[in-house]
Amino acid sequence: MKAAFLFHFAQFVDWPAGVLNSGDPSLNLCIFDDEPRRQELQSTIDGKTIGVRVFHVRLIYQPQEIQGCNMLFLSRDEAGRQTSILKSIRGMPILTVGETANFLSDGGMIRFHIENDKIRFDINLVDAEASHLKISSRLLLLATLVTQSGAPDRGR
Amino acid sequence: MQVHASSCFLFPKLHRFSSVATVYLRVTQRALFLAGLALLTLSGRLSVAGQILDLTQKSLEDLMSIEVTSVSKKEQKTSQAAAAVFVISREDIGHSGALNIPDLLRMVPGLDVAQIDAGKWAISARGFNGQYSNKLLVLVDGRTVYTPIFGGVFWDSQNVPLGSIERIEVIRGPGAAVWGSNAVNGVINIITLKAGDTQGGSVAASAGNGSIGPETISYSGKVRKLGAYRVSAEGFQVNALPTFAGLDGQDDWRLVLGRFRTDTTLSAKDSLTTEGDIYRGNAGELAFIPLSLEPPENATVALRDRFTGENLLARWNRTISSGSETSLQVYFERTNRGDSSYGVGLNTFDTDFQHHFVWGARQDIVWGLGYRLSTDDIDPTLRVSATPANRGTQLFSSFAQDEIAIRRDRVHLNLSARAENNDYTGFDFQPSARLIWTPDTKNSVWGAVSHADRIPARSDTDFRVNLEALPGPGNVPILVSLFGNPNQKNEQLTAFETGYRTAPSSRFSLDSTVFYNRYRDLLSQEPGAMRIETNPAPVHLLIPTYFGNGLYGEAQGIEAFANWKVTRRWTLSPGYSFFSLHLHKFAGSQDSGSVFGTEGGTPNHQAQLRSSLDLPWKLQWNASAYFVNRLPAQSIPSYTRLDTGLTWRAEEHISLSLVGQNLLKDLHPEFTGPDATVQSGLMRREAYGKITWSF
Repeated sequence: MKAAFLFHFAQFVDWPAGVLNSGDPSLNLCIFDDEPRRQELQSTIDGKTIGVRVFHVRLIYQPQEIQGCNMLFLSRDEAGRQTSILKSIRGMPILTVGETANFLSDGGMIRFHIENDKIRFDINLVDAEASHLKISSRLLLLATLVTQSGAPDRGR
Repeated sequence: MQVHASSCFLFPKLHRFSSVATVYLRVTQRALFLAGLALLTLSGRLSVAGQILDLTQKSLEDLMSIEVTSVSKKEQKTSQAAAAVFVISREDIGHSGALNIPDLLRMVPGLDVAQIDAGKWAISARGFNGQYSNKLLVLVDGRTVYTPIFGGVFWDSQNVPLGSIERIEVIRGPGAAVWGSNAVNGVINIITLKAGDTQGGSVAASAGNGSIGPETISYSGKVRKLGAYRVSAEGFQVNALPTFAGLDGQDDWRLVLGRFRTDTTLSAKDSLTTEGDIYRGNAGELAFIPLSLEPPENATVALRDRFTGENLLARWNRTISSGSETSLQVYFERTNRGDSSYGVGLNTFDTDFQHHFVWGARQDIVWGLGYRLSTDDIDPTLRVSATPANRGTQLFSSFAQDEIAIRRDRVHLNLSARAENNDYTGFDFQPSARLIWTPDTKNSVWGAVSHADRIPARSDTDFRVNLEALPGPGNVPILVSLFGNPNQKNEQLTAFETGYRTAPSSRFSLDSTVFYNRYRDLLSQEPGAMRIETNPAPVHLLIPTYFGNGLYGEAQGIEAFANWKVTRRWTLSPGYSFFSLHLHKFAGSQDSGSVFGTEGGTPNHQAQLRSSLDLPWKLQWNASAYFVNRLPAQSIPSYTRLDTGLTWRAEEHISLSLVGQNLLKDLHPEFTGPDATVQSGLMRREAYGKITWSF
């Protein structure tokens, strides 16, 4: 189900001009090769279209391969290297989505959590803006918590 | 298009057995799609053979309204349950300010939670409350925690660290058809977080005028590609309360416990959960007991109950296909407790199997088999003894439940039944029929007729309790004793319930239930003929009382609660319950105290109001008020309890709380034991501070 969320996130985010070039319609969601939900992600969203863009789920094996990604999903299983990965791509126009408690403070942008058995997410607008990603206000409204520059504003 | 998480909440052990993170979504479409969507967990692999529901076609808002509980195989929204259900969420636990499970349960409308002393509670639903209330089934992750010795729960040794609880589901009313005997008046199902749901460590420390602790430390980690584990330890001391007479109750309560849980993915289809606990504790009381027969002597003495326990549970879940899964659970538990007036050792071995599958387009079936072996060892003392002193009892059970979509997403019929064989009363059959009608997404109406039995416990059949030794005529002592009855029968309930739920807007919901219960063969105490007894020595006159099944009666009540999001930041949750019980004696019963004691031992009215407010500067303010009407049988006046707490999330990893409990009165009583041999305590105004740090 988180796969469907990832698909929607892509619809509500604008990448800076030039990042998604007009010759290649792909929008790459990268996951690590040992991602346990790999199959789910691939079967749910790979090949789906968002406007003129085609969603691709790309497997990466090394953190260095993140360069060509537009989105990166880091599951809990990557908790060990999450901090260093996020640090290495800070400022790059890659929408990062994760699920550990400290994902946002590590510099990640959207963090899943479960509240009353439902999937909820928090958004770190500071780092998203620093990476020149524009997150639609509609997505911000749905977020539980949006970290603006300064103190986080608790919303619902 | 509506999405309903499918089927019945009362799904038995679904919550007991749980752990395959598969959610079945039933959709209003021409075909029934079963989408086994692997979620959120290690075991998260797509296990759908047939059609997959395309979730990307749903709006983000719709996605956010889908429940994803990873603990239940067969997931259901409480608004779709044909039963009186209340769920305490993790958020509720954080807001409650409670330091232990009994205090947490106060928020459940219709549940009667009364504290007896520092470490003892009387907890029941729909009447029959008492320290040894015995018509409620309590489970921790599928492990039954009521003791077969008397059929009730020793709450002082059943504390799960609150930080590791995912949710507590409380069903008021009978759940015996699927959950098993003893689920006569309700089921409390405590579900802990999966090991993978928490990451890293956390430390929580608290202290106040009423208690030191609980101090909790917990750590979760992952073993790559294998699974996750969590280990936690907790300890606390609750200070003694004063008694009615103003004395020190010497009822201080201490508990130290350790817990672990692992969740492992064995293959794409198999997952394994293991859990274990170990605890050591003690709690005191002032009790009036016979000290000797020669000369006859009784006194109120300070007793210290010491308890130890260990248990180990393993549960193997297997997904056979998208519409079929099984679980097999095995646990072993050993407990010991006693003071100078009694001693009980108990070993329990329990195994359960269940199979859940979808049959055709309209039927969803669960069936299962279970076996339990309990062996005990009762140390004979002057006060308590058992004949035989050691006994092993077996319980064989089987159940089946069929949920039939008569009109899909509109009318669902749930038929279930359990057949059991126990060593006390033999074969037993407990059926239940439930119907729910959901005319639209905002309203639902349900009704149920159920039969449930309480099987006699060891104390009902085999125990002897010497209550008092008195001087008699001609220096012959008199002994007043209560005897179990080997021919004790099941206590039986036929319950009629109906409920209505409505959620006219996303900000307001209301849940109400009306019930009518008919009981027969209820436990009574029948005076026996006075006689001369030589053992225990010396020769004395015995005034015996025997357990019997001399009572019948009817109960009725209303339970209603609402949830109102007043603003984005402020939620109010009011609740109210009415209960009335009338008991009668069968011809021939000479019971004298049970009718009044039981009828007047549960409040007629209870009301509550809980408020939760998010303030600026990362502050969160909660308050709850509970009104409990008087208990005529115990001369307990009505009282209102007010708890409030302020939490400051100083930063992402640290939060600080300040909580006040029982703020309205210096001291007030909530409950006395029905036999009044134990001096109950007076609840005092308390305050504590708590710090939680996660890393």
